[in-house]
Amino acid sequence: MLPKPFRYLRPETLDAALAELAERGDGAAPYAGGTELLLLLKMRLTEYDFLVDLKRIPKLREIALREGTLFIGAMATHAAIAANSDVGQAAPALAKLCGSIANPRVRSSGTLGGNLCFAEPTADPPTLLAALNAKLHLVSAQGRRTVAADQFVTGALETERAEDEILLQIEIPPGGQAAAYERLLNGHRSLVGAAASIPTELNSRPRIWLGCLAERPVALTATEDHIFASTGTLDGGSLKQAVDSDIAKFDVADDEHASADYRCHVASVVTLRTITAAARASGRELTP
Amino acid sequence: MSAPADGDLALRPDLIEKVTGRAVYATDVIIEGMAHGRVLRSSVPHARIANIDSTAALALDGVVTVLTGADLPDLVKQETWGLYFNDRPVIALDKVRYVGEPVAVVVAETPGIAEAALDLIDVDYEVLPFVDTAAAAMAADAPLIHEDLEPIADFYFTGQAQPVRGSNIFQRYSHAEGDVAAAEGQATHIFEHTYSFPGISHFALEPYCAIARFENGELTVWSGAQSPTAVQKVLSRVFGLDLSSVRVTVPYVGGGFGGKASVKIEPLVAAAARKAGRAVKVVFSFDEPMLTCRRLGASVTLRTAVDDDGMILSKKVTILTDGGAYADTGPAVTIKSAHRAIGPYAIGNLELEASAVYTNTVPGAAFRSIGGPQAVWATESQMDEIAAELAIDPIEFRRRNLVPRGGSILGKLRPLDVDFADMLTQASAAMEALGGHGMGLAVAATDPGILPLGGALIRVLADGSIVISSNSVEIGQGVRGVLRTVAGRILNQDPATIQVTNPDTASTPFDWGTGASRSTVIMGLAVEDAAKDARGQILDLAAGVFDGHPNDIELVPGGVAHGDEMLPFAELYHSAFGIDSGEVVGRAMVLPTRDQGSFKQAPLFWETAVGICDVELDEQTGQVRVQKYVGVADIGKALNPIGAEGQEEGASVQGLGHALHEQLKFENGQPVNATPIAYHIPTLTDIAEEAHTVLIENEDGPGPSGAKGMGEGGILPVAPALANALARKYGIRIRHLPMSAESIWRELRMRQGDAS
Repeated sequence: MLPKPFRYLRPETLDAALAELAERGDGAAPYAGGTELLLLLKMRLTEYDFLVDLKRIPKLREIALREGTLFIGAMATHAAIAANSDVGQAAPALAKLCGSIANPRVRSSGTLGGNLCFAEPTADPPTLLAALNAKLHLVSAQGRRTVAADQFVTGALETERAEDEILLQIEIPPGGQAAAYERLLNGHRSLVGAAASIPTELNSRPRIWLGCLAERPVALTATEDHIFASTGTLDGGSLKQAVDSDIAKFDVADDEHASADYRCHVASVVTLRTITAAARASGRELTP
Repeated sequence: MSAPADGDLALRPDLIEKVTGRAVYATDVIIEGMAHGRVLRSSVPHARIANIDSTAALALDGVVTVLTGADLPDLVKQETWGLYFNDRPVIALDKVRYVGEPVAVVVAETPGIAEAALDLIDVDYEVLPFVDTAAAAMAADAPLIHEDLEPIADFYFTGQAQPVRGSNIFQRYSHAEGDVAAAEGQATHIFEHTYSFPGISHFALEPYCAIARFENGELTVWSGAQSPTAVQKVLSRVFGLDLSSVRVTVPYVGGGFGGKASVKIEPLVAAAARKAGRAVKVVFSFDEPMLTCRRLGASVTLRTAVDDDGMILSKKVTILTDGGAYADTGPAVTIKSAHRAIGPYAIGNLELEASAVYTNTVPGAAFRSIGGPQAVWATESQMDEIAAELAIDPIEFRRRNLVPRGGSILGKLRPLDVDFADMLTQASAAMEALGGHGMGLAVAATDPGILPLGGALIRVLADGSIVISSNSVEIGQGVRGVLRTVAGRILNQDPATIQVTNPDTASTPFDWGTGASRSTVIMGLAVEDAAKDARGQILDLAAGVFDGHPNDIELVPGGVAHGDEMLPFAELYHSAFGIDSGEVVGRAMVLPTRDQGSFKQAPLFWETAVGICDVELDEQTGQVRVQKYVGVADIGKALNPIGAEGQEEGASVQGLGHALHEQLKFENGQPVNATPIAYHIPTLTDIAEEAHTVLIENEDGPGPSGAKGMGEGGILPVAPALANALARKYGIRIRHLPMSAESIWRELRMRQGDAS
């Protein structure tokens, strides 16, 4: 189908973009790569009177590493992030994920910020950024604020972002090297995706997040506790028990992609594989 | 597959046109003054239409008209059409029979206005009970989807359907040879299994598009269609026009796989144009093809009797196909599914019964190897199941039962024209060369439904350039390259000097259509004969000019030669015609009477395939990966080897889709995944890590240079070869497609349950 007619605005500065959003209210949507938004518009599942294209604002595409902290402009494409050496050094799991999202066409136009703001429940980046303890910088005509990545997505296609806000950049703190992301694809979308960040320092809490089980990424707190409490070698058997006890907390329903029992089973499998990869990256031993 | 060389690109100028965006498809055609149509589709699976209110849509600025069933009496001579029955209305009349059926067409100045107007049409449905599975459609109390079916004979395929009155069955085919009961009496083992194959989408990258224009009592249609003459015929019947007053022309087509064969959207678009009083273009969005047609789903039950030596004594095939809301080519698909379930085995005692039922779902239609994948999935899975039970190696079990070259698969069909034992040997050798283990194998022998009826013209112009007029559609398969090769050889001209025109029923001889693996053979022969006809005329002209005998003259690139003397075509024509203009026209028509009527014997050739693979299973998740795949096809002669390889490998990738992922799902009559977003076809990351194709060329086919038709066989062995590999390597047997990761995981759990 064709989308309902809309006006296409292409501001060249952040201030101009913010002014457009403030003026147009809920009739306007920021337009990033368009790989999800345009599909919804064409299917007429949503409609806007105005699309405010953010791709002409150069600073929104910048990627920088400053004193170990990685800053990724929200309009950086998946392909640009995958190819960026700073990302490869500071958050290799993110570089790897961005290099394997969807297909080359989506990667060359889709952006990390757009992916986060769209909040598709099967999206991969929200889960990994939650485990990386990333911070998201938002701005509106009223001012700036920061939201933790693990709080940003609030439901299916719902986020903390207000209608007049623009996601500026994603900040990933130091320590992103010891993280991993694994997923199980069902066609071209994830059936489950798990992220783990296991700090090399034993006094830091690990972060284990699971995507696709609920409408937003969820923390596997019992698993985190278990790993945090293990001082030396991680024991695969008891780790699996912790993961399964975490997964059992969620009310998973059958859907057209998978039965609930299968989804929970592969969530456990993928989570354990992710933890194994993250543990390897952080130099921790793990017995099967 | 090898990389194309310059020579291949010279044969196929369309490749460069396509990758540079210059190639013209129907969607690119603009007719002056045309309006744009969009289709409103039924939202319910089965209902009477109580009322359609288009008032608000008509009031929208820019809307030209709205076509509904109520308009048909004023617009058409025949309100319904079809290939086996006139069961399909040009646009929904009194009722709708599936979700997605066209109920109105808005014609507007722009596609956007037409789209917006769709929301303003109110349709009142009085819902009726519906059936969305073949089993439900067979129930005694099932609602009747069609009443009073009148079969029409020899309309598109030869023969006619055998519907069962008072039921939803629109085709019942039975055929028996030998004595199955007696054979079962002698057997030591009788195996009976049921396998299922869901309805799947063609997923051609170019959606349907047609433009229709009535002008001076003539109807002109531009369409992305595989069968221009079938479109012409149906339009002439629907609108009461002479065939000569209906012109169908086809630019490049972006894939069809059978989904654009016979006739699909042209009667609807032409009716909209007649109502609008101006040319109308309708371009479907990407999901509308998924609501237009699909492969017929099938349930296949095989009862196979075997003796202690592993010899098959008899086979009873019972098939039920899900034909969707309109019969289309379903009756032919259903007959073929029965034939294709036999396999290349010498059985002798056969009972075949195949039925097709209407359901309130997207209509079934031809799809690459009609009925083949459904049948071969069943029969080749069962071959391995039997071999495992008898503790015989599955390849050895097949070898014991293969029909030899010249032997009979089914008494009424042409004897087998390939050596399957050799194909098996070559498959294993190629897999070994790839360093793989042939864990799963499947074979297939199919009888293409080729109608030997098609013609061509060749014009040798004064400057030596050559034009072939052919109604074969360039649908990505490379037929034009093949035709240029054939003509170039006969006329001794560089294929680069030979153009092939777009199909156009106004100027080009009849051809049945592009499908059923027929163009290389039928159109190839027509072009070969037309080239010989032109050559004969040119040599006669030259004999007069050189004052010699035609036998002493030869065609050379750019002209003719007599000894050392060479005349370019322009000079030849100048001498012969008095001016340096004019042309020679060669013509030919391939008919069923060819070769003393031997072309009437079906099939004209057997299309065969062997597939062998190795798979790797993630036993924790059920995800399967094809590591290595080898396909073998006996194609007689590869006229364009890279194109032939591409066809085989493309077919096997398409087979991987239905093996692992594809199923058009319905819940309560509603299609739930009929969008390209929800429906997954194989992508580059899904295909085999290593693949190889072996083309066997014994130059023993009926086509030019001994070619057989090809392009469909490669799709057949993939799913059963994968299932057989999973059985041998991992001990699980899957009988229902697709083999999703979850279904494999469940089988693995059951296997572990059995073991403990």
